[in-house]
Amino acid sequence: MIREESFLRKHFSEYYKKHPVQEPPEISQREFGIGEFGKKITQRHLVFSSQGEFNSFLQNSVPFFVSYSTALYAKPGARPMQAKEFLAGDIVYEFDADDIKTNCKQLHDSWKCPKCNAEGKGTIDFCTECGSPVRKEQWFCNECLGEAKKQVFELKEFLENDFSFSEGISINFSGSAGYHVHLRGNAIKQLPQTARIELLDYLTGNSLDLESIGFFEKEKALHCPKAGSLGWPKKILSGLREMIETQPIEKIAAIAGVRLTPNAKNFFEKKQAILQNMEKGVFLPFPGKKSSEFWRVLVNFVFEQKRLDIDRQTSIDLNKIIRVPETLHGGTGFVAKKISFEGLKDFNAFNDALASESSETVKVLIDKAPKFHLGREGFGPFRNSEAELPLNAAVFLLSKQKAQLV
Amino acid sequence: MHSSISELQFAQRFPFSREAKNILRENNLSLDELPEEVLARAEAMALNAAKGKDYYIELRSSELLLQEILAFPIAKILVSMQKDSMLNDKFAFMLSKSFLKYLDLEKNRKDTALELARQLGIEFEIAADSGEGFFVSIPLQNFLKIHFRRMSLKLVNQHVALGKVFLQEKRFFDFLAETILSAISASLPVPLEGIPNSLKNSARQLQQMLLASRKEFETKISGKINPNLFSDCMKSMYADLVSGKHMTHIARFYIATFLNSIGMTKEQLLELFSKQGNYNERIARYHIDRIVKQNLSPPGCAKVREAGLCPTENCQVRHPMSFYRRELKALELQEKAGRHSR
Repeated sequence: MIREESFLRKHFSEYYKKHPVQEPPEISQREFGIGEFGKKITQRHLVFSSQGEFNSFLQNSVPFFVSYSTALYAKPGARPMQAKEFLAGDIVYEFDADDIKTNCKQLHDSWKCPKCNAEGKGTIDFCTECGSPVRKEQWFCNECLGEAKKQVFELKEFLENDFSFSEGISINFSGSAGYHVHLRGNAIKQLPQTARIELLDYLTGNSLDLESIGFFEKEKALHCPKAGSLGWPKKILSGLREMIETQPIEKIAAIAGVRLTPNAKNFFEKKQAILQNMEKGVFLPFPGKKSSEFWRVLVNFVFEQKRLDIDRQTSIDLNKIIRVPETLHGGTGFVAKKISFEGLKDFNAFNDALASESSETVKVLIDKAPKFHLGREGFGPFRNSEAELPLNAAVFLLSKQKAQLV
Repeated sequence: MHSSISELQFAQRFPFSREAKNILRENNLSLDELPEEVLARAEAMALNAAKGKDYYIELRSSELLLQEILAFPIAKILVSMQKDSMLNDKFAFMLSKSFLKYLDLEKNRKDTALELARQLGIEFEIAADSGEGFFVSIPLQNFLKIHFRRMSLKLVNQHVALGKVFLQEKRFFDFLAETILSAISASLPVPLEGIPNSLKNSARQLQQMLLASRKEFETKISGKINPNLFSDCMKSMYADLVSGKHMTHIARFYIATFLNSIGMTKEQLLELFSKQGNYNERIARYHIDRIVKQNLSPPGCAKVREAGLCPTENCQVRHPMSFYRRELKALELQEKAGRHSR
């Protein structure tokens, strides 16, 4: 892959010459790490005193991956980590489409067992034939990126409505299968790690204790927090209310796993009584013996819908280094594009994160790739086929190491 | 100036309060001429903390109350002289538990709690009635300053809105108890210059008692390892390790410290870790060597939960190590009983 690596480096170099990177803020207090073709981090503890120095490094050394520390240090280049002298830290919430269950994975992901050669579609961890760990082929598309995007919007609600964090928030496409939300406001800079864990647990619903927040059983009835509750109790109640008001009874019954008997139908018709009881802090008993179980299933369903899937290590590890926004991702060739909240809705990574505007085409031999769209054009699927592709599409496949130059 | 019984009672119940500090100042206690009774009370406080017992005492005599008040700073010195951060935590935890019990005795619990909150520098606002019975609201930043031990105080289990945490009365009292725990923990160890011999002797005696009670706990477990007796968290990490499933760095570290503590050898550990997809013998050997050489402690439940590695809802285990020890002992007894009955 030496030819491919040189080809990509030339392409990356041209990008950095044309697009000076203005990130990250407080550059002289950050530690940087870089990676080479096929390896995200090969060197750490690098320091840049200014944006100018950083950009000349990008143009001259042309790394395939560039990451920076979310922490600010007095001596960012010192080793070991303790010698860097931690001053303050951003928080980064990472949403990775690979971690979110979506139907599209069945279309574009596949696996192969290195032991027995069994293979299949979708994403699994262990071979269905022999139980060995499998080698995964993960791709991403607008559908799974859309799910990650939804979570970013939900995070915004949490940050504004619950935490009242509004300053210093910036979003960027990760350059691959997700989004990064950076929090750099004064409110969070000095938070200890324990506080960062509390915030993350709040967002992901980790350790939520239903009884402790007001959902408890008393005299065979399941009680709920009253109207006026806040935080997670409020989110769960409003989700339940919305479900009862807008969803067909067949769907609610299916979620709760109950049969629509005449008694059950009669129960679902009493929408107003159900909602009024909830206002007062009690769930209207569902007919039959399993009323509490019925409500518990619905409560858990709503909770699962509202909790966020955030990468845990990225957001609480104070020594973490993460991709510098506006730099290139060496595994896709995409730009880790910065996006405003307003622009996020219409952001399409397959159009808006492309590094080149050139109309050049490149001949490549493609090993294996599912169907994908880039710059409003569709490509593939490919299997051991030769094709002449636009530069961005060729860079995408070469970076993913799924193609070779012809 | 002599304090009234009620003032002394308040100071004894809340030894971290301004009132208690005033009484200490007025009595100008000298470490060189420490009354025996005060020293005895201080030793009792420190020993109770070490054994994880409660310290709760209702008194009506001014003399005894004063002895208790004076004993508090002496107990802090005795605890500090052990140079044991775990004991510092236990001492602070004991006092935070006592605080809740003593608060129950107060006629105006709410007013007392609010006054103590002010003294502890907690920023709060009395909450308007919302139907949920909120008592106070605390700015999120201030709420997050405390590292909570009580699961009920985790942020995820609070009513949070617009950067404020709204607490009902009982939750606010728990929050105060955690703040007290944190404040007392932070005040330990106290400076130890110029400590007279009488106190040094007391500290030595206390140290011997602590060593005796700890000996049993520190013994490394030997014999065949039985993963069926692991706590759920260790069982799940062990299953991942054995099956070669990718594990995070923290999960690898926790399971390695646990397996080392229950007697697994370095080579056995390396063999297990070799199943990880990104196994690198040099790196794995470095980490395992460090764990074995320094005999790094396995994590407690709080750390396992924080890392998102506790798979069990409402888990009742207090520490994976003590759980494994207990299960091993129970199995041993069962087997003995089986042998006898045969």
